Amino acid sequence: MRQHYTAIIAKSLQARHRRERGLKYLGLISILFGFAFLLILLGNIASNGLSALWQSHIQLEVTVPADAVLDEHGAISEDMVFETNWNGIVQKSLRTEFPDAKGMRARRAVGKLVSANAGFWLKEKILANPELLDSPQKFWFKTSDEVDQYIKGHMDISVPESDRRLSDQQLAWADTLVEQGLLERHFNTTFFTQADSREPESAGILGAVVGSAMAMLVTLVLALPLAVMSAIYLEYFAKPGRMTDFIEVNINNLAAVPSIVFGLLGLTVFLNFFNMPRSAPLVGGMVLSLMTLPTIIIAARASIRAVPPSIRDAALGLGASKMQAALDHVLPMAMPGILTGTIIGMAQALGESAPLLMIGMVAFVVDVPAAITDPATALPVQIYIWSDSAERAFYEKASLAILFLVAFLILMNMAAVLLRRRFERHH
Amino acid sequence: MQNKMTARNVEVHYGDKMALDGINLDIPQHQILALIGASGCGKSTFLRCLNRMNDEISGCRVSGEIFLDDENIYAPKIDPVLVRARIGMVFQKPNPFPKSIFDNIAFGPRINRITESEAELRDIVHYALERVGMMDEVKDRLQESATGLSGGQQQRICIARALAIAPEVLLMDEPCSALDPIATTRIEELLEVLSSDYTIVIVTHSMHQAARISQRSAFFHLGELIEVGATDKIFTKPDDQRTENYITGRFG
Repeated sequence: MRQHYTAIIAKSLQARHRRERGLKYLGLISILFGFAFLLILLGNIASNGLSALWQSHIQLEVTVPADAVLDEHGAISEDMVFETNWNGIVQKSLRTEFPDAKGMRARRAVGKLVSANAGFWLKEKILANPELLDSPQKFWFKTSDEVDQYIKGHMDISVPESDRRLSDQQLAWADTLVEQGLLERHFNTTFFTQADSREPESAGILGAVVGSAMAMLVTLVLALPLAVMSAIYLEYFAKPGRMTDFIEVNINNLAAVPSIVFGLLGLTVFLNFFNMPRSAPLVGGMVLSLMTLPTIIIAARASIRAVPPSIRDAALGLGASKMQAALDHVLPMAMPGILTGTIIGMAQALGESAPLLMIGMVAFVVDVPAAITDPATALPVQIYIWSDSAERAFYEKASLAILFLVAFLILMNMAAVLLRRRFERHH
Repeated sequence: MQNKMTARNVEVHYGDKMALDGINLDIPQHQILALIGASGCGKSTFLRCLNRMNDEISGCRVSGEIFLDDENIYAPKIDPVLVRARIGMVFQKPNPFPKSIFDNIAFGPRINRITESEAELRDIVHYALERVGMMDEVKDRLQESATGLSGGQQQRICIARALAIAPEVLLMDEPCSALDPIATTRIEELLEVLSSDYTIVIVTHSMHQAARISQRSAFFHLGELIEVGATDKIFTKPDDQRTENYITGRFG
């Protein structure tokens, strides 16, 4: 009879527990690191971008004469509206606030305080409300993006005046307006209701959101059925052999192809060969669906394989054809897994900009697209365009757009996790 | 005694590995034939040959002939889907679809387009439930999920599901191995009743079960059919030493 090993084991156990604790803390530290970086990233973007939710406005009293809009019969005349110098009306009213600004240069400097689109805005407002004609009205006009950035403290005033976008005099005027309560920050609805613009204060995200949504829709409609059918074919119909192996390897290869290559493919095949419209969400969606296809196929195959074979046996044993067994029983049970893969693939596609650049979705589009063949841009591309612009105000807008994109991606991934949870509970 | 099915020189390979070697076996009509043998002896493989389920296993090759009545079900012009509709199968683990009891049993008639009328479909489902003696148990919950039933009930639903398309032969692959003794008894009683109308082939690990319910038994060993004959004889005076060893529990 040999001695018991209890003492030796107990001794080794101490060392083993120590190592386990060490490993545990190491894991915890790495998670904290990852989390900290995520927080820094999001915090940084948020601190840059959240201010874009507000836009500075100047209150001005303007009187639009009736003959700016109406002809002698009192009807709205397009010619008259066209002839009217709308910006001039706004500028004139602005100059009355600063009577001591004399001379061309000073007058022009005053004019730079309001948005270059203020006249356009006034025209729309008056045309919608003709009863405001011929009487003094107080309106809140958007400031120019430079004044807006100064008010938000994004302008470095220690920079020499000559290198700044606003002179000391202009800054002083802006400060006066703030003191008089004529310059306020209002919620920036334009950001959510307009498409892109040359002027940062008139630029919005809606065009890009709609463009992205259309492209995603096209991607979903094309990629999901194709991927599911491919997965069913590969799992149930393809005879194992060289050909099937070749297809399998290439689906995995396809998943690893850099996204810009899909863009090139879209450019040569869809645009140049089939002459499809440039910059259209339709083509964008087609390119993205090529990119998403392998992701969904791989996920679909995995979830089809996870369905208990006994279910398929039962259906086949009752005289079901392969297709009946697959569609009636296997597919419904595999669907949550397939949808999870689809959402993850779509989330990838949503954040993708490179392939869209190649097919021209990087165009400057000021209209919200109304159809999938209209020129449009997409959220990540819009972010790219804005972050590439000179104006500081576009940088702010790009940051806010990033926040939106990230929020949307988080939502999609959460939906995927929830679906998977439900799936696991059922089995 | 008329033979419902006849196997001639059936060989099965999985890749390079031979799973069954030259099986010749007659399956008499309206009787229960038990396939017995140790795990891996090929009895389940043989059972799956009888309704061409092995077609669905990749790398599995079947050669030889199996006749259903006078027709070789491995002849090129035969549609395996039709074979499986004529020869029902019940599996080791109860495998109801995650659907209602009614839909489970109606699945076979529906996909095979046996009837267009809902009333007739209901009759078929009720008849199948009557045959397995479950009508009283489930008549008020036909729309509830079949997966909520007990294991024994699920297995009887699976048998009813097979009966709903009126198969000529019923193949059973260890139908009681996942069930408790009471549920097993019920299934065995059911099989005895059914054997007057159906030809039944059952794979079983339980020698007692084979002795209780089958008229004939076939002993498989390492991919070969060693001995087949009346169950009484196999269990009392087997011809082959290997059969005797298995029966008496010396291996397997």
